[in-house]
Amino acid sequence: MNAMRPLLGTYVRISMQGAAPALCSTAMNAAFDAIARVQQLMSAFAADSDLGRIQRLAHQHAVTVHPWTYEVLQLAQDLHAQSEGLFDPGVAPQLAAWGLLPNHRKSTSSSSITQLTLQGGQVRSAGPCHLDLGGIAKGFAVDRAIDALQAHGIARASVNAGGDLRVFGPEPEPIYLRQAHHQPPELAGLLQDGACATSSIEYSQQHHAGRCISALVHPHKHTAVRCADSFSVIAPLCALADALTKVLALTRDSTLPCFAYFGAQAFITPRT
Amino acid sequence: MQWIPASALALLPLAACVVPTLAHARINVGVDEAQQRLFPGQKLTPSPVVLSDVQRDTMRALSSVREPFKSERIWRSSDGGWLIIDEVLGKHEMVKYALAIWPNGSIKGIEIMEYVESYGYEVADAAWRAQFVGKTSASPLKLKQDIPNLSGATLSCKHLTDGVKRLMVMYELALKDSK
Repeated sequence: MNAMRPLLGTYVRISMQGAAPALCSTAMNAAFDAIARVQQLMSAFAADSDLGRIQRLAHQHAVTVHPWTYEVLQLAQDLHAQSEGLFDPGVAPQLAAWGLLPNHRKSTSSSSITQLTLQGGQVRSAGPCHLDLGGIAKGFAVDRAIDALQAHGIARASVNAGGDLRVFGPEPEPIYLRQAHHQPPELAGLLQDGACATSSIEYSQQHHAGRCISALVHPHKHTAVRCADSFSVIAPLCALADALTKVLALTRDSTLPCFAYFGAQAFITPRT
Repeated sequence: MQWIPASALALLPLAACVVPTLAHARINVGVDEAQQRLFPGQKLTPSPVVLSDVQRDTMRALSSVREPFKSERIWRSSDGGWLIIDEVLGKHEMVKYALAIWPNGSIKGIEIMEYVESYGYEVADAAWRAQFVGKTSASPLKLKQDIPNLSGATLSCKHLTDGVKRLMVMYELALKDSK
């Protein structure tokens, strides 16, 4: 059974094999519900999302968040530490300045995931913060959808959120890579029980005030990736694959220790 | 997790390279199935509307969708909700979808019925596009092999969002007050 719904700002597709239609239907709804829940919790567009509340209130008092939000923030801090600060949802002010994110009420000139202190399910911020979880939440949503499918006893499936995907099942699945819009997809490899995410500036690239910008921003230099290559990461979890593509795009170095640390493999496909 | 890059596949015995059947899966949800997914267990009655030129102009003005809307693909559910089928043609994707509306006028759900991510050379081809617009079940799309596990830069669903916005304008203009 195949189903596709618009979520997370893109087209999310779930494919299942080998289960009865009634079970597929229930599992599919649970998986889409999990994705919608992640979207609701971590949206940069809704003031009452967990992320919205952290940005409004966490510098004044501790904010209790959903366990999933807490998990994403913990993972984001770990990724920040392991990547020497190259993964940082604190690039949001730059994205907002370029019009790629809604402008935050109390927009700060610089922000970082390191401003947050996480303790006992609560979040505090050292100062006003502006974060974008867009570089990790999509992958995390895919992971929650996979959990939902497995909890319903589905044995073989894939969840693909606009190019960030995860597969599980008894056999390796072929993973294709769409490098550029004008090119047909190519086989990247076979993947079993793992995730693949790809970042490139193919769709986010645009001009702002005479400069070429994209959604891939360097947290220290505040500059955008302008290289047209595709940056892919294979990892056990889609949240990791999603986040690590940003590190790969910024460094263009697939041998960084953080990839091995998270059990991931990185590869760059040059634009032809 | 197991990952075998394509570059290493040539070294494997041929049997390991056989593309699993999942790769042939395809988004192809029929009208009946879309109705069942969005309004499980409910009876749906065709409820086409006739839109005036003024209404069509308003729909165009309040959304950025230019394609003509086919107002015969509207159903009413037994609890007073609505189901509408429409298509959007983006720069990169062609999507046929079903929108379900609760009796109170809020969105109940959206189910993609057909999705085609096209490549540059195809989407520019008027004949290729024409097979999508106004297609019927008697003229299936000529698609290449479908690929569920396609990784790449994220494509925004903005065109679909615009399409839904147009349908909600249509709901306000033509469906909301109908008995």
